[in-house]
Amino acid sequence: MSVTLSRRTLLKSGIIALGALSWPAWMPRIAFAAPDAAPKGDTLVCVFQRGGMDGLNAVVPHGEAAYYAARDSLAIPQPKAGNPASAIDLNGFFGLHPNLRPFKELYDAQKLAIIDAVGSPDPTHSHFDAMDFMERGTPGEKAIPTGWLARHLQVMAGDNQSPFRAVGMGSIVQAALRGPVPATALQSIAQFHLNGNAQEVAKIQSGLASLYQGDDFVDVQGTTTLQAMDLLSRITASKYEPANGAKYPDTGFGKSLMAVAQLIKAELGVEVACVDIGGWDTHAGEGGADGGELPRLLSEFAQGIHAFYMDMGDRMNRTTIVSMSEFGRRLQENNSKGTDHGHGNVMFVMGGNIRGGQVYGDWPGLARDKLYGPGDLAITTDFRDVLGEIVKNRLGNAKLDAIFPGYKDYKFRNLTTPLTAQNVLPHPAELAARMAAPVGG
Amino acid sequence: MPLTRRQFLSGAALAATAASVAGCADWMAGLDEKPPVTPAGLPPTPGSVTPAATSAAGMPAVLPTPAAMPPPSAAALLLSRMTFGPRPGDVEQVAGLGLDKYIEQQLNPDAIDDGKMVKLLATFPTLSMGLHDLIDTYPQPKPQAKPDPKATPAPAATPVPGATPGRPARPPRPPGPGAVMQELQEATLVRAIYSERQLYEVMVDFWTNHINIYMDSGVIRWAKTVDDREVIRKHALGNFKAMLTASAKSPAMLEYLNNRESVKGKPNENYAREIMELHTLGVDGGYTYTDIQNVARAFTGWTIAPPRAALLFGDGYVFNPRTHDDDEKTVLGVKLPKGGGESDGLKVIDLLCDHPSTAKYLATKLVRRFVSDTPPPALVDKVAAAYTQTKGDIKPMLRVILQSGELRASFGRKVRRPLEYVAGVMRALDVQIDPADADILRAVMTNLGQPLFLWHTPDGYPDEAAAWINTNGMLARWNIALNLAIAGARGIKADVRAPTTASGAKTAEQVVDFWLDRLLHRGMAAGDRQRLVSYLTDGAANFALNELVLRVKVPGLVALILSSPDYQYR
Repeated sequence: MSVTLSRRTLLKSGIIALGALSWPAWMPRIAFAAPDAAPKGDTLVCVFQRGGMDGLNAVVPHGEAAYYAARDSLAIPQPKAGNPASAIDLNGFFGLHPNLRPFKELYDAQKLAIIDAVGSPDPTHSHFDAMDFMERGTPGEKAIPTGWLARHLQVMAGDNQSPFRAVGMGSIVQAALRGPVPATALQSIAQFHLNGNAQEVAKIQSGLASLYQGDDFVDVQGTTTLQAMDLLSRITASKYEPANGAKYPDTGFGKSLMAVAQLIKAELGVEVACVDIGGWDTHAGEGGADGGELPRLLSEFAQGIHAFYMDMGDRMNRTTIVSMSEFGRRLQENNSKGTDHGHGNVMFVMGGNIRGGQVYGDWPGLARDKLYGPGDLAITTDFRDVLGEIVKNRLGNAKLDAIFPGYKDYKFRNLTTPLTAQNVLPHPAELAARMAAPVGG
Repeated sequence: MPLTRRQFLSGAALAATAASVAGCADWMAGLDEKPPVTPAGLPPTPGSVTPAATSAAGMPAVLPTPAAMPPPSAAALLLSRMTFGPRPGDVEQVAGLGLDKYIEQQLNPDAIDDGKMVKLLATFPTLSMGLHDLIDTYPQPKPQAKPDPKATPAPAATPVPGATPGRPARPPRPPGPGAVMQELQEATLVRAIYSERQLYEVMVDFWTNHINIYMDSGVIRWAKTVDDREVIRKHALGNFKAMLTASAKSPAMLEYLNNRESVKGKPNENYAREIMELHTLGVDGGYTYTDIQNVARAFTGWTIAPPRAALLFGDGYVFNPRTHDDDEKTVLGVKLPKGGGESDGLKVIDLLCDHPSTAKYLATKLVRRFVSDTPPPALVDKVAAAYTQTKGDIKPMLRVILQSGELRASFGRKVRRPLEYVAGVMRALDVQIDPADADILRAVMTNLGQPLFLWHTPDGYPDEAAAWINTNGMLARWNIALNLAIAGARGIKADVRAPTTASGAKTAEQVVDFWLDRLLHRGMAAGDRQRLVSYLTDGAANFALNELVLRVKVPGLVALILSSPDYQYR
């Protein structure tokens, strides 16, 4: 019989109330990482680039004359030694935007895979619809109210009762996480505590724990909050120092990624985390290789993910990051030196068990008759092909019909190594070493 | 001896052994002894967590009522729904006046003396300015080079006049449109807290979200202030069709949903889609994609006057016949003949407002706002009938809702959203502030996840419990209560001492009961009341309302009540 650690049990046994004073520093990691609650597969971090990233300038098809013809001011020059403003060649046809340079190292280490001409098949050019469809995993279908990650968590419901099982960085949880499995909205680990005179606040906190004992919705959320607060107080005793010299950008995105790394390293039972980076709606003043909104965002994006990779170290073997954006942007630049809403885009997948170092997908080309709708990159890989493969191969959840209902014709690109007993669980020696290491380090 | 996880988790074992096992690697190694993970990594059975019902937002739609919460009086419940929360004395006053009389008073806000608002709002000069005045007075600052992070930090801002020593200075307004947006956010908070026309302000909030506009983009940064005044506030208790017509011509809306750039041959469907899906018919209201395309064609040419042409065209909206698609079109089965010009759009507004789906959709949202996250269908039908009979008058719909038995029986069916929490706490504690300190409340709204006028998508901030009652929100609420009752921030601090001493309460029970009545207007379950007493007395047998208790414990008690599950319901 499996042991269920419910927050109710915790509360009733008095652990929560006692916890703040008596739990040892290493407590959180074992509170939720016991064998029967071990995550079934990777921890998944979903990065949503809100606003519609210009994938054509992020991963540049420098082998396409049509790209240069359509983008007088914005095109990234073909790779050229000695020109730091030129594309960084990947395979002779595609190249990275120069501000994605941190990705080159990950790509060469075969930890980063790129999927091009990917996206949602729904024709909408509305941010709201497109984001909504992508987060609920149901293009063109509004009748299913829950998010795709929430449905995944529902299928995988086991004994993991951690309040950090699903984390949405920000003040409101992302639509992908909305559903019957409670997700924790978190703006900052360091700020997640009650403010005021420590002695009196501790009494108020026990007072709250005694008032929040019911099973209704408000009580459960309050209990989760108290539990999260207790667990986080364990890892905020000292300032978090990223490992391996990792340097996160000093932005909301960088801080969010760092918080996710901190939660994962503290073994708090994180299964999925959502992180947003906004501002990709570059209708005007987008910028080419430098000096615009897109170059700035690409720097922040790549530096953040690279720092996460460095910081996580060996734990990357149990972690996958996937990025998505609601749609790409039009091939032709507009009159405001920007680009309008488009269709096909780029996704990045990074992790220890990703078959990186490749650009996946079938390139449809940019010739006029190959473009989609009003002049957009066509889609040859459905975003559900990428997410579905990760869910099945890296999260160990084969029930794809519950996660992407109605979708049948998966085209897995084989960009992941399937889970095996060997790569599901860390080596016992590694686990022991990890347990002995100081928290947060 | 290796502890099993069960023993470990049984609390007693933990407390006893915690200190001695720290760093004991052998003991910890026992944790990985039997990992029952199947090769595929699947749990033995799929999850069975299925809510009985889910709402459109994907959340459990039914808010379980905590059985143990004693219900409030009819007057207290009514006030908690049609205002941002009762102030001390309000419940008694309304009970004395009679509920129906109070409803009628609030339905006629112009007859309510709200003179003090004039003085409070004088701090916000942008509220009365026109679009071009705003743009001229608060121009977009020239982009400056990014400050070098390595450079020495800028000197602290010069103290604002009127800042008292030892009191942190107010942050200066940002240059340009940032100031305009901040004033609108702060004025909205000041009105919600201090206006006597509470139902009106509640409806302003309702329509602000119903016809939502994200403010921090392009010309909207100036134009939302105009939209707030000329669309939302002008018609909040008036006629829906008049409000929708004003909205369709509002520069902020023309920009937000892209109709300004919608032209013949290249219509932008954004506004056409949302005016039907979100403003009138509802997503299942019976329209097709062809209707969206044709509504978009009908609104081509509805745009914003070029800034330099303001003298010719006035301040904002203009119809441009040269970019209007003047061919015949069919909308919802009705033919709009060729050559209709601007009247095409007006006819579409007529068709949409007169449609039974609109009556039902608006009625559902209003009932959800005032009565329950799961609107009772019979009440929705009555409210929809009131809309249809009066061709879209808002007051008759509200009268049906506010007088309904469904509302009287709906305690526990609504929670406070952030704005209702913040305004409610300020009102319940009767905190008087200098409006210039309202920036603090603006920041609080951001912490709570509801920065005003900054919801990106056109559906507006959600009006259901599950969207708001989450970990981040709970913690933010608790901290606001603590700050307000105990710490205080700049000019914002509640005086809990004076009411306590004035109440005549002597025993701990009397103090708790006094504050429960003042803040909840009802009792708490006996066990919870006892827990509050225990907090107040620190478990000691002797209780006296001494200086320490007044300074530390009573504020703590107030914070605890405002942080309780009970207070999250309205």
